[in-house]
Amino acid sequence: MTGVAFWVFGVAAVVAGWRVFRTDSMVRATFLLLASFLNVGAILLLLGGAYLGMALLFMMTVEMTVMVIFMVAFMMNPAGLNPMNMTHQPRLAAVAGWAAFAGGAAVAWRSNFPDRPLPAGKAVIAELGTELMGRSMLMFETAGVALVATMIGAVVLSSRRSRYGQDAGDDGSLPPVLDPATGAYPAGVLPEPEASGHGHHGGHS
Amino acid sequence: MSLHADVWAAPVLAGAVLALGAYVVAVLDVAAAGLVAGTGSRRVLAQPVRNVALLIRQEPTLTERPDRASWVLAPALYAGLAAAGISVVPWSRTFSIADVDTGIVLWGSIEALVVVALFLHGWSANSHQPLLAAYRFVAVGLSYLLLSMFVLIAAAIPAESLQLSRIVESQAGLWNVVRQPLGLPLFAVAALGSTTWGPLNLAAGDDLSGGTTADVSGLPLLVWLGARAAMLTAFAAMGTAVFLGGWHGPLLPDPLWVVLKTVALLAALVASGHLVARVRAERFVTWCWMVLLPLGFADLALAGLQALR
Amino acid sequence: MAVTLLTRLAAAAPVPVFVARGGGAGMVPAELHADTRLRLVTSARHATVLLAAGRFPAALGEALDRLHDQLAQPRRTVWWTPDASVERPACLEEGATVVTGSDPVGAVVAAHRAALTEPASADPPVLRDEPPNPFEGGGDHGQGGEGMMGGVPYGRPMAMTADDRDGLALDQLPVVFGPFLLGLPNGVQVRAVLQGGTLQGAQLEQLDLGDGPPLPGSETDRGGPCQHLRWVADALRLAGLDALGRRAAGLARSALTDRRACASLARAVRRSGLPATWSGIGVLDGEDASLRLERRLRFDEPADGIPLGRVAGSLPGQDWSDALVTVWSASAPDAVASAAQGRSG
Repeated sequence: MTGVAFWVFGVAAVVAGWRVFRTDSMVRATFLLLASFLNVGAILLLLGGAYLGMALLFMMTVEMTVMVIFMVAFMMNPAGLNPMNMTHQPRLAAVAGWAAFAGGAAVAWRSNFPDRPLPAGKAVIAELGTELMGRSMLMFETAGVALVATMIGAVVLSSRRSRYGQDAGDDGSLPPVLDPATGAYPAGVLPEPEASGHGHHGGHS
Repeated sequence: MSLHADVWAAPVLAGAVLALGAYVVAVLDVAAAGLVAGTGSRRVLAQPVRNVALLIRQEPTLTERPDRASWVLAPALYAGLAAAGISVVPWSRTFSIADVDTGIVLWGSIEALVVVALFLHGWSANSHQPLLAAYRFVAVGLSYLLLSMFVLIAAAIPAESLQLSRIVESQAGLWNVVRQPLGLPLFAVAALGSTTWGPLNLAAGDDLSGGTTADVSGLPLLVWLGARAAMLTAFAAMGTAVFLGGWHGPLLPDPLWVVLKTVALLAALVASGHLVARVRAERFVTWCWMVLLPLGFADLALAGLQALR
Repeated sequence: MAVTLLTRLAAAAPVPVFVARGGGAGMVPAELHADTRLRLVTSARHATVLLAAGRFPAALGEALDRLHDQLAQPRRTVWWTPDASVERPACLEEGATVVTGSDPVGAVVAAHRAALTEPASADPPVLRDEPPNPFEGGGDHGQGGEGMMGGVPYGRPMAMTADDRDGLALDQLPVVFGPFLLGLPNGVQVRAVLQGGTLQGAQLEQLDLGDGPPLPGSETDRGGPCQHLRWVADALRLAGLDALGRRAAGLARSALTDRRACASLARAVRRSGLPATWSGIGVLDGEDASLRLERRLRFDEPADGIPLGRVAGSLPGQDWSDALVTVWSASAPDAVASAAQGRSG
C-alpha cells in the first residue's frame, strides 16, 4: 500500500513539475509547481516525517500563494485571451536541465542508501522538537525573528501610510519635503514626475 | 488508543457530518437574519431546502474563457479540505474519523490551502470582480493564518502533544477557553476569515457583486456555498475540540456534547455575520499585524508560563 | 415526480431578483429589500427575475440588454414603470411583464413561478453570442499587441504595465463598472483604471435617464426621512449587513410610524462598527463617509449630494471598495444628477 502510494506521489510530482514548463499561464505554472511540492510533502509523510511533511505542505502553499499574487500583479493576463510564449533561453535551459539530470541520476545510481526502517512507536515529533529547541535553537530562533521582522516590514511598507505617515499622502517611497517653503528634497533624492495614469495601457474601448 | 474509521468509511462519515452541518449553518443563518431584520423567521427549516432546489434548477454559467480545470477544482478542493479538517476532530474518548498525530499542523495546512482554493475560484472565472475579490482575500488570508497557528499551538502546550485527542484529554480539569481566554476569540477570527463569513467576507461580498461567486450559478454555486458552510462546521468542531473541552461534560453521551458545543459556536459565528459590518481589507491587515498578532504572542506566552509552573 | 417536487420547492423559495434602477425610479426599489418573498442579489447570474424599474433610454437600454443576457436560465423580466408607452430596450419588448402600480412584488413572484414551471417559453438572449469587435491580433504568437502583453484584442484593452506610486511597474487594467452596480447612483457608470485593487484613474459618467413621470413614491418625501432610510438600506447592503438593511427598508416602507424603531436601528448600525469602518475614507470637503452616514441616520443630510466631478477627482489612489463607499456616501440618489462628467487621471 505504501509502495503504491509512493509511486503515485512520485510520478505526480514529476508530471506536475514537467507541466510547469509546458503551460502558458503564469498562475497555472505556479499552482502546478505547488502541486509538485505537495506531492513531495506527501512522500515525506510516507517516510515517517510526520511534522516535516505537514510543515512542508503548509509552507509551500503559503509561498506559492504569495508568488501567484506577484505573477498576477506583474502580468494580469492569465493567457485566456492572449496566448503567450513563456520560455526564455531554451537552449541554455535544455543543456542545464540535462546536466542536472545526469548529475542527479549518477548520485542516485552510485550512492548506498541505508535500509533502516523506522522502529514502530518512535516519538518522531518529540525528537524533532528536542533537536529544534536544543542544539539548533540559536539557528532557528535567529531565522524566525528575522523572518517575522521582514514580514512586518513588508506590511508596513506596502500600507497606505507607508514609511512616512498619514500626511505624506500617496508619494510612497518619496521622503517628505525638507523645506516646505522652497520644496527642497533631502540630499540625494530626485523626485520622479507624477506617474499615475501614464504608461502604455491600450486606451479605452 | 483511539479508534479510527475504516479508510472506506471515512469519506462517507465526514461527508454525512458536513452535509448535516451545512444544513444547520443555513438554518441558523436564516434564523439570525430574521431576528436581526425584525421580520421573524417563517419556515426556517424549509427555506434552505427550497434554496437548494432553486440552485439545482438553475443552469450553470460559463464565462468567456475560464480556466475550466480550476473552475471545477476550486469548490471540490474547498469541500475536500473541510472533510480533511473534520476528520481529525474527536467525537468521543475512543472515536475520531482519522486521528493523526500532527492534527494541529494539519489544520495549519488546511487553512493555507483554503486560501489557494478561494484564489483559484476567483481567478479561474477570467472576470474582474472575482479576481479583485480573490486578491483582497489573499491579502487578508496571509494575515490571520499566522494568528491561528499561534493560538492552536498554545492549546497544544498543556497537552504536550499535537494530537487532537490528547488535547481534548488535557482539558479534563479545565477547558482551554478558561485558562487561555484569548484563544477562542482569535480562532474565531481565523474561522470567519477562512470561510469568508460576516465581517471578513472579502471574497464573496456584496460590494464586489458576490466576489468570487459573481460569475457562478446553478450547481457549481451550490457546491461552493455548501463547501463554505461545511468549512464553517469544521472550524466550529475544531474550536470545540481545542478550546471548549470537546466531549467533556456530565450526564449526556460524549458525541452529544460535541454536537451541542459545535452548534453553540456555529450560532455565534453565524450571528456575527449579521451584527458586525465588513472590515476594510487594508485596515484589517494593519490591525491584525499590530494588535491581534501580539495578542496571539501573549496567548502563547501565557500558555508557556502555565506549563512551566 | 422528482422533477416536479424539485420545481415546487424551488418555486416556493425566496425569489432571487436583480433590481435595475433606471430613470425616474429614484430610491424606491430599495424598499423591496424588506419583502421576505424576495431576495435582492448583487450579481445578475444569481437572479431568476430581472426587475427593471423606470425608464431605460439609449445607452442605459443597451446596458440593460447586456445585463439581461447575464441572468442564468430559467429567467423572466418584469418592467416596473408608470408609463409603458416610452421607448424600451430589446429585452423589455416581448415576454416581459409590465407593472404600472406601486407594488411589483406579486408580479415578480408570479414571474419566478412561471420561469420554473414553463421552461419551454424561456426568455431568450437579446444579443448575439459573438464578440462585438473584431480580433486585432498582430503579434508573433497571435497576441493582441505590444510585446507579450497588451494590445486591444476584440476591442477590449488588455492590461499593460505602468508605474505605481513606488515606481514598481505593475499591470493596469481598464474596467467599466456600472450602471446598475450596488453602490453607484442611478445610471452612473465608472470608467476605472485599476492597478491591482487600487484605482489609478476614474471617470464618473452619468448616462441619460430620459424624461417622464417618476415611479409612484419617488417624488414624495424628497429629502425626507424615507429617502434617507432607503439610502441607509442600500449602504447597509454594501457593508455586508443584509439583515439590518432589511430592517431599514421595512422602516422606509412603513412610512416611519415608529420613531423608536428608527432610533434602535441607528443604535444597531453604530454597534456594528460601520461608522468606525467608514471613518477616514471618502474625504470630501473635509468630511469622511462616516460623518455623512451619521447625518443620514439622524435624517440630517442635505438632499443634493456632491457633484460627480469632484467625487471622481478624489478617487485615484483609493482601493476600489473604498471608492465605492466614497461614491455612495456622496450621492443623493433622487437629485437631478449633474450631467457634468468627472474626469481624472
